[in-house]
Order: sequence, then structure tokens, then C-alpha cells
Amino acid sequence: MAVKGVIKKGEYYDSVALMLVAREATKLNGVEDAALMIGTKENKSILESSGLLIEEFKGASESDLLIAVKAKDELLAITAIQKVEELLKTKNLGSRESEEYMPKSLEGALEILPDANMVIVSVAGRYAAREAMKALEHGLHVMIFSDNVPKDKAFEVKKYGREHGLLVMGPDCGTAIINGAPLGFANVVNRGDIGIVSAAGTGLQEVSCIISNAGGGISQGIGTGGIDVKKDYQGMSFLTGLEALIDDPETKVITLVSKPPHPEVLEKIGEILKKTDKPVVAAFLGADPELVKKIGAIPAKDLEHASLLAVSISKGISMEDFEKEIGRKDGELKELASQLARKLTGEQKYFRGLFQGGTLVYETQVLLKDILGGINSNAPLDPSLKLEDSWKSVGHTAVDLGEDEFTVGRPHPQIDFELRNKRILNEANDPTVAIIYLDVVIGYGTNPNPAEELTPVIKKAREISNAIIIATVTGTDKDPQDKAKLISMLKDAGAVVFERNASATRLAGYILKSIGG
Amino acid sequence: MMQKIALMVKSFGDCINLNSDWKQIRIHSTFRNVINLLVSSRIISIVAPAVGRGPNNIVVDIDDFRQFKYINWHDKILYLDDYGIGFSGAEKYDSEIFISSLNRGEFMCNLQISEKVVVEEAPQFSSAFLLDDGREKFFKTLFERNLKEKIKITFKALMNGYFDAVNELKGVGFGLTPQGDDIINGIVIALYIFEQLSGVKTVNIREKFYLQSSNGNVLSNTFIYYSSVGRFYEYFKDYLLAILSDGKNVESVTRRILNFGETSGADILTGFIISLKKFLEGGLLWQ
Repeated sequence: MAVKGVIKKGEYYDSVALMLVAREATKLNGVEDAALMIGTKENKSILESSGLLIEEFKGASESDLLIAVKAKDELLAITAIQKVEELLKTKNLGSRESEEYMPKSLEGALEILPDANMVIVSVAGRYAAREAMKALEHGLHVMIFSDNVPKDKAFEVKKYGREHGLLVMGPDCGTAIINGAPLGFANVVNRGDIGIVSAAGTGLQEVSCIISNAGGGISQGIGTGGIDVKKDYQGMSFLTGLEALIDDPETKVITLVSKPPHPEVLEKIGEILKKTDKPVVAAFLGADPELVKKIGAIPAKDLEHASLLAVSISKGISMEDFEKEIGRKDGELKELASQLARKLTGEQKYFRGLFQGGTLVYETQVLLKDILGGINSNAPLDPSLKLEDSWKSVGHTAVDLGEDEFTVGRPHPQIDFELRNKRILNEANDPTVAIIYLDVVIGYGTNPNPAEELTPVIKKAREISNAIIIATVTGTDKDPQDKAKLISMLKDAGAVVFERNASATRLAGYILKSIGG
Repeated sequence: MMQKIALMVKSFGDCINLNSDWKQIRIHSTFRNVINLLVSSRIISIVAPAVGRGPNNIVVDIDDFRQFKYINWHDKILYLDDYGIGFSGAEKYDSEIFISSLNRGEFMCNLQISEKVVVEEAPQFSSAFLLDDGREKFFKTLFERNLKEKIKITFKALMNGYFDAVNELKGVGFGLTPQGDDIINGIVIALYIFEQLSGVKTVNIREKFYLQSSNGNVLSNTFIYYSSVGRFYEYFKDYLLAILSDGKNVESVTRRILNFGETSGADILTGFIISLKKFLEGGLLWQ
């Protein structure tokens, strides 16, 4: 182990800047620990107790900055020191820059961005409504990323927004695309003339990605949080979002995404739709298509159908051609299903879906219900199908790993793959499993290296079992994770890969149907 | 060629003596919103309005102080590069506070609200872990843990009546004003407020804190000095007035302090809240 250090004379930095650079240094190759501190007597004693004090530091003064690195060998330590010096320079953290005003309150932020018209609130749930209300009172739209916002407070905020014509996206709104800017968990999509209002976070991601990948583009993607379309909230944010898209000259086609809204909310949506000539596609997953038609929207069977329908309308493709194309693709799926089914043994009959995205697990259950009947889940369509123990699969099972029971004390499964990876291997060890089904949601905010995290586990699962592994990737080529490489690595590992959850689910359904599952 | 007067002062602190001779003057440090000047052994800061008023602050409406390279005192006029700074018509900031009456119950409630904001919203690397040990998790590497432990142990010793621990707390931390210095600053402010509330004289112990904690960090020394003589920066004065009076804006004034210099605001508040509560419960901890 080698410890190296340098003294920077007369340079001043803020505490957090120094700590963050030290953190970054500890991630460098071979580095065990790092510190950047001013040379006070007491700091030297901390460096000493951390094994980071070098002889030269002993003569340093209180106005000197000490940079110390402990690494596996001398060369790595010296390289790390150079990197730290570069970080200090390139990040403009030096004394002349370090008091750049970084507001921590709305008032402070408005001082430096007086023209801002939207605020993202991401604080502990019990304080979120207060911050959101403050923003609304300044006449600003709000996206509330926080969850666990008390019901009465969430209502108050939404009501205020509705009454004042301001968007309140959330609470628990994880995704939005506003004027081309992806917010929260979101993807880099093409800009275009299709506007989305969604009460389903991953649903908005899936729809915006399919649209973008199919050559369409998004004008705005407005999230509302799932609770919004329930009776208690009367779709207040959803309705404001819909009106905003109707008024938006850049939006030519509107797509609505949600679990089935409460009938009263559906009626209100219908009232608003009477005021527009713009075509509106509605993917209200599992809702009666006749009810959707009644309110003046075009019903879509699933998220894929809704997305492609919106693109077709946007591009002026006839409905007939569109439906023909959908039918052709479904035929291909059935053929692939019968090929794959032949590889299964007689004992293998169950579907095991391990999901990162709440909307996707819902959509899969809706689609498989038609093909297979009920699916057990920790978030089931029918309460009688609720898993007794979410950690244990029973029969056909689809698990939402983003539910609170799995996320207490750990990051969301779109970020941390550990839990699902273990579960994949558990399922592979069950000889009755025919299909292990995985969604991989990429984009901002999610795991930066999903391929590296997932493919070794898929390979291992394939060694243990001949169960079919189906993966569906939600993302675009412009996302930071390199979607093409991810898909190619998943395929190399032995997975059958799709870019649309509905198609992937239908394949799973057809396989199981063909083996009598 | 020096210009006569080109920069007009909006306000200046009541501890700045405009009639004294500033011959011994040099730039200590420059930031976007501040130029710290070393005048004799104390700091006078020329600041942008966003930084706010203070006992030793000169507020000038300038976007970016990094453009200036030189300071000069000539013919009783202060110059930044070639620009003279004019004080005529500038408001004099009163950095003292006056407490007319106090409802003890309301005050404790306000302090509690303020503490909650600090615990919830302080920056990760601040010393707010002293208020809530759940925040210790942010300190991960061996070095970070050692730093945190050092602050914790010395602060605890100080709060248990071991005054000399101030020597070990001063200078602990990273940046321009290390965490330890800011915590001491908070304790000194608490001593002043305790005197106002209880009538127990704390002037000697405040002076002792200042003298014992003075070291080569002239910026920290200056901050602690002004707190020890009951002179406060605008944001902190607003905060003190809010918790000592109607408590209307406690949350917002607390947040304004949290915005101060990365962890500094949170560190000062941490020292202030813990020690003031301790004084109010059991009186002065040191003789």
C-alpha cells in the first residue's frame, strides 16, 4: 500500500466540493482512500488516523490544501493524485468558482432563474405538498417526484393547480418529458407532434419510446402519478394535462395512458374531449373499449397498440394498413412461439415475470389474462390472486419489484439489479418454470450498465435451466446506456429480446398456450 | 489612472470604520459573489446583494467579483482595480438584535421546527448528524468516518463541560471555514442568545471561545469574533428574530441559512440548536 500527497498553497475550496472530489478519487483504479483538507493541526490528526498523513504534510499551514491518496502501489497513487488535480480544475471547483450560488430553496432558485415556469419537488413526502403549494402560489407548474404525500395534502395541491390552470404532475410522478427535456426516469426521444398524458410512469416511458423508435415524436409527455385517475382525485391533473395538449399547437395527436380511470373521471375526460377535433388514442389498460369509444377516444388494446396507432395517425397511414401490419406481426409471434415451445420439457409450464416497471407488470397481467387466465402477483388485477408471500412464486406469477416491500432500504429495481438477479436464479432452479420474463427499462435515472449487471445472471440461469428467457427493453438509441449493445449482449447471453412489452408478453402467452399452460 | 467613484455601495456593516486607515489591505480570497479583504488581521467582505448584509460586509451591486485583481486604498478611497467605491448615501446595516419580549413555549416550538428543517434538508456532508445519527450513513470511507467521529467526540466532550475540546474542534473539516469552526460559531451565537433569554452573563465565555479558537484561519476567526460580540449577519439575524418572535417564517429563514456556503449554514445551525437547548435545560456548561 502506498500513500502519496501534494500540498496546494493558498487555494480555497468549499467543503462539499472537496468531499465529492475525494469520493470520486476513491473510485479510481487501486485507490483505497483519499482525502482533501486544509492543513489544520486537527485535520492532520484525522489524516494520520486514516493512514493518509505523509511527512511533507507536517509542515503545511492552515491555508494550505492537502491532497492525500492511499492506493495499492505508488504508481496508482501518483496517477490518482494527478486525476484529483484535474478534477479540481475541470470541475471549476477552485476558490474563484466555489461560491457559485447553488440554491437549496425555491426562493433562492427563483432569484437565479426568474423566468422558470416549472418546479420539480423531490423531498420527503410529508414536506412535498408544502413545497409544491409554494411553487403553485408563485404561478409555477409542478412535478412532484416524491411519494408518500398525505392524501389530504395531495388533494389540496391538485385542487389548487386545477383551479388556477397549473399542472400538478404527481405526487409520485417519476416521469415526464417537457419541451423535449426528459425529467425523472425518462428517455431521450424524438420531438414531434404526439402529446401524451399518462397516469402510469413506466407506461409513459414505454409509449414514448415505442413512438420514437417507430419514427414518431413527442411534443409533451405529461405524467400525473397513478392516483390521479382514482375517484378521490377526480383526474384533476390528468384533465389539466389533457387541456394543455389540446391547446398546444405543436400537438396534433393525443395519447392517454392509464389503468382504467374511475367512471366519474372517464366522464370528465369525455367532457373535455368534446371540445377538440384532435385525434385521441386511449390506452386505458384493461378498460372496456366500448366505454372508451363512448368518450370520443380511439381505444387501444395495449401500450404498443396505442403507440403505433398514434404514429400511424401522425404520419397519415390508413387504419386498414395499420391493422394489417399488426396482424402480420402477430402471426410471426405465433410461429416463433411454437418453435420455442418445442424446446421445453413436459414438466415446464409456468410463467415467472420479474418486473422493474409497475405499468409493465400490469400490462402483462392484462394481456396474459386473456390468454392464460389469472396470474398471481404482489400487485394482482384480482385481489384473490395476491401472492401470500411476494418473495415466493406460485404457478404463473408476475412480480412488481418496485413495490414498497422490495424497495425498503434499497434503491429502485431500475437502479439496483441485485434482488432481481437473485430471484432469476431462484426461478431457474425451479424445474416447473417454462418462461422467465424480464423488463429492462433504460434512460436517465436508471442503472447505467444494465448489460453488465444482467447478462452474467442470464447466462448462469441458462446453464441451470432450459427455461426460455424473454427480455423486453424500454428505451431508445439516444439513451445513455447504448441500447443496441444492451440488446446484442442480452441475445448473446441467451435471451429472446423485444423492444415492446406487449409483443414480448404475447409471445410468452402463445408459448404457454401451445404447451397447454 | 484611477477613476474617482464608479461603484456605489448599497449598504455597509456597522462594524466597518470608514474613518480608519486601511493601508494594510490585501485580497484574501475572491469568489463570484464575494471578495474577502484582509484589513490588518480581520476580514472585510465586499459582497453581492445575494450574500446579504453583515457587520463587516460592504454590499455592492456587482454580478461577478472574479473580474477584479487588485485592491487599493488611496486618498481615503477604496479601489477595486481602477474603480473607486463610494459610500455616500449607503445604508448602514445594524447587526445587533434587540429582544423586547419572549414567549418561552413559542420559542422552544420555533427551535424545534428549525431543527426539523435542518435534519431533513441539511447537505449530506454537514454536521447535522449531531442532531440525527441517521445521517451518519452519509460518511462512508475510512477517512470520512474518522472525520465524522472526530467531530462527534470533540463536540460531545465540549457539551459535557470539557472546554479545552474547543482546541480540537477548531480546524476540523475541509473547506474555507471547516465544519468545526462553524459549529463553534453556532455555540457562540447560542451563548449570546442564552444571555438575552436568561440574563446569565456569557460575555467572558464568549470571549474565551473566540480567543481559544483563533488560529491561522482569519475568515473563521472573523466570523466567530462577530458572533462573540453579538453582531450578526443579515440571514442569521432574520433567523434569530424569527425564532425569538412570532415564528412566522422559521422554516424559510432556516432554509436561507442552509443555503450558506455549502455546509457552513447547516454546521452553524447544528452547533447553535444543540448548545442552546443544552443551556436552556441546564445552564452554562463552562466557567
